[in-house]
Amino acid sequence: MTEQRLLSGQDVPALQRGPTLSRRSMLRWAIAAVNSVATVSLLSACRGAEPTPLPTATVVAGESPVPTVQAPIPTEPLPTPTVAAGPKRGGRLVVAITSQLQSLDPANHRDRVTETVLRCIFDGLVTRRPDGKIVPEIAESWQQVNPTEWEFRIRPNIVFHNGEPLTAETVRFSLERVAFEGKLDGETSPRRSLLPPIVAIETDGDLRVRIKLANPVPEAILLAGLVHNQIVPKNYVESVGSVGLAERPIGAGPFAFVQGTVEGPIILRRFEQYYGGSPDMPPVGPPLLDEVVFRVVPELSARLAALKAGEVHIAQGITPDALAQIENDPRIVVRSYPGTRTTWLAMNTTKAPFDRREVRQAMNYGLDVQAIIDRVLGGRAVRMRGAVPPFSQHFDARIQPYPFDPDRAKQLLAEAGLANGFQLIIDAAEADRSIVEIIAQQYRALGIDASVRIWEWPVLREAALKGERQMIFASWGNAFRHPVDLLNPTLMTGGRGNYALYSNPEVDRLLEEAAVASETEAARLYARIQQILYEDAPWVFLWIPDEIEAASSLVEGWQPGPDGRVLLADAWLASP
Amino acid sequence: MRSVRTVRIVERLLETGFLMVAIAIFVFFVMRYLPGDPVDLIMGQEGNVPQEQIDALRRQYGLDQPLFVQLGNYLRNLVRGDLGTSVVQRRAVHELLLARLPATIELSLGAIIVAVVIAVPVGVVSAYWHNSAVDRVSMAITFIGVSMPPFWLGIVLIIVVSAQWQLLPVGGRIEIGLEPAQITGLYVVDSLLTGNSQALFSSLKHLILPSVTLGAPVAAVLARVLRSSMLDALAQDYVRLARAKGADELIVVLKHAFRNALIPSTTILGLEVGSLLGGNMIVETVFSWPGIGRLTVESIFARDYVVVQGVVMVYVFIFVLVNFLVDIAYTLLNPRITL
Repeated sequence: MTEQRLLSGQDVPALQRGPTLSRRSMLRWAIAAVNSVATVSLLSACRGAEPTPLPTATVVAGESPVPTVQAPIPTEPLPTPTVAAGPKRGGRLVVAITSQLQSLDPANHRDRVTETVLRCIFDGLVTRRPDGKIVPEIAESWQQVNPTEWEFRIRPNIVFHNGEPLTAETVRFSLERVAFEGKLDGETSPRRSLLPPIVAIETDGDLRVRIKLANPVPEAILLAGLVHNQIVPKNYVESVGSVGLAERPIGAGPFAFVQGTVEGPIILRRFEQYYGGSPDMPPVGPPLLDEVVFRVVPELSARLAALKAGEVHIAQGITPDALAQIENDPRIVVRSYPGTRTTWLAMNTTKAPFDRREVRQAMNYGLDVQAIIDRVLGGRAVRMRGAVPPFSQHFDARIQPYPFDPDRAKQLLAEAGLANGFQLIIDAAEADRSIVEIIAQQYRALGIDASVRIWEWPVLREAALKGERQMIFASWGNAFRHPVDLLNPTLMTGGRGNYALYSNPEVDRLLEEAAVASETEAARLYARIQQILYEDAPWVFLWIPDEIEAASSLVEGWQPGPDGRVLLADAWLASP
Repeated sequence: MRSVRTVRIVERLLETGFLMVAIAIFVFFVMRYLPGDPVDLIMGQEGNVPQEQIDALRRQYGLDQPLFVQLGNYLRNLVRGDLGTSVVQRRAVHELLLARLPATIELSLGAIIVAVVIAVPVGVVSAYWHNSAVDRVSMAITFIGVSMPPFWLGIVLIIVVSAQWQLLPVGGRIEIGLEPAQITGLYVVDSLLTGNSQALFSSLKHLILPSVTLGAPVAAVLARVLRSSMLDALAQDYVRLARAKGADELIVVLKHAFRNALIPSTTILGLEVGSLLGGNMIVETVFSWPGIGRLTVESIFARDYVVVQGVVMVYVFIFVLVNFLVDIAYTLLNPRITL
């Protein structure tokens, strides 16, 4: 894998972003904590990361290729490394992740950081390339046998880290752990909803697995689900149980677990018998690095400092406003790739003034979204044109974003009898405070009396779903890149992410039909849905932020991957 | 005499046990009063999760039962010594606590040592030469120390000492791969016990910045209290008498005045353990220190109820225990005081 590979991959957004404490929120907390017991307001203050300025004149340490102990920290500034001739084997690479893991069992978590680490240890039937395409991994090929049945052919001669062969039976066992009830030592996997309803999984010889679904499901949905479910060794899991697997994970991925706990650090070592991964993601073969270490560094400024000090090679979870501190440092490389977390302002469509469509449209006309993307987010975001993001299947490219047109906005407000503006409170979580302040400022320019209120997310979420909020800044992950994964939960009546409390019987019906329709029919239905949603404007359509990571310039052949993965199978460390 | 003391200790322990359970019950209700459900939060803002599956998971974790049934189950398990199972991590709460407690104890001890090492000389010197330049400067510094938020100090230290000068590591407990054999879980102690000098140096290096960050505000408070109680003591008749007898000035200050001035300072140190535990939540996050503080923060955000209940019980226990030790220290400092 070379640097030239297009960085167009996208990610699975955080299932739940790990809580990080910003300086401001920590101050608030510190004060409150002195006062007494945790209160609601105290809890509301503690999400989101904020950067702290770092000095730029620092030294980045090199990493010795000797794997045994951590490299010494040099006291002299190092020259900018020259590009080495070719990939080099060896070395230990340290990645700073943003939160601790939920589990080391790939079937027993719903967390993106956990997946980042576990997908270095475990492979799945299929995987997603940085360009977004789903390609074979452990599966060699697949075909649809009938509308509800799929057959996967397993790549032969794959072994797990403990030498156990990977067969159709292990695949069946692994998928059943997720898809069926009570398979994790009597409990059900929290990842169950990632797979479509499965009736049966059958094997045919050692290399064929048939998945029988309860109802027809688009190929994209089934495959996207399989991307997020990894294969585990049956005999091993049966002997040690799910608890044993979570203590000592064994997979068939590029790196084998050496030691560590969910609290970190986690040490992995190259698996020499690795089958090489997806042939669609060359080069194929065992990794070059001897070891990979994942270190939990929750605070953003500490991650950046660790990167500058040479203690870590790759830092995840960088925010756009922190880039100024590292972008000019020749020893640090910043890479971003389009994310899949859609953001929008949900307007409460059940209460005045947002029960009127023209007011909701006015809010879309009155916000200069592109200016915020360009100036505040440094261009590191993709604009939402309507309710379906551009990377999604069935995205209707004919839809153009609402133009920034304050006059039109004012005219629409006047038509709604709001020529003198109205009082608007935008509610948001701490992490989004600065961006929402800017949005409020733009609305004030329209004559709207806009202000911002900050909450802890679970508190805000519940209040919004009860209809107790006017407008909230919200987001929803669309990892499957299919409208079903985004619109059904957020804009169908009663959806668990329907913060706009939007209820349109026609949209409900169309969404239900589209979910089971043929590809061409689905395309037609989703085009219609997008048109309705665009005009109805239950949201102010915002953007999909890029995922940003930073690395030492010594790391070669690395790129941030989709699903928050760091693709380390082909990474190597240049000599300083 | 001894039996009276034993009875008092047993009484205290029983009281503490009741207090721990009472506070766990209080937290049980407060946490559930907060909006947000752990299973719903685990599913996040993401994808199309059917409500039936969320309900099924809530049933699986017993979260669907009436509150008093849940409380009854919790208390019943508590009596058996079972603190429950984390919803998010699917691990026993006592395991989570035991995995992280040593890190927090090590950091808190480090902070106390830093606090005492700074506060005692500053307090004594400021009191002895009170109103001098030394006194004014050190009191000004302690004033800053009291008002300085720990996260700010921590980040400044990381940026200057770790990133800029590269003298000490940015965070973590020890260099990866150097972990000493587990005996107490305190890396410094374990490296000493196993004679592992490499691990000892590494863990001490990692301990310095977080201990300073956590200990600085305590040092500031302690120095100010010690100064005023030293001033009081130095003005007492017994000090005048000692001086009149012609005792060496050092003896007067350290033996007669300092020892008596220690009682209020010890009280403050005991109470400050509370703020140490609170400060841990912030300092452990800044320094990537895998302790109880971070577990608390993470569990509150995730609404991982039983973990928060467990953590709070540990906090109560530590707080009461430390203050009990403070009471015992009184009897040593002043034999006229009894338990």
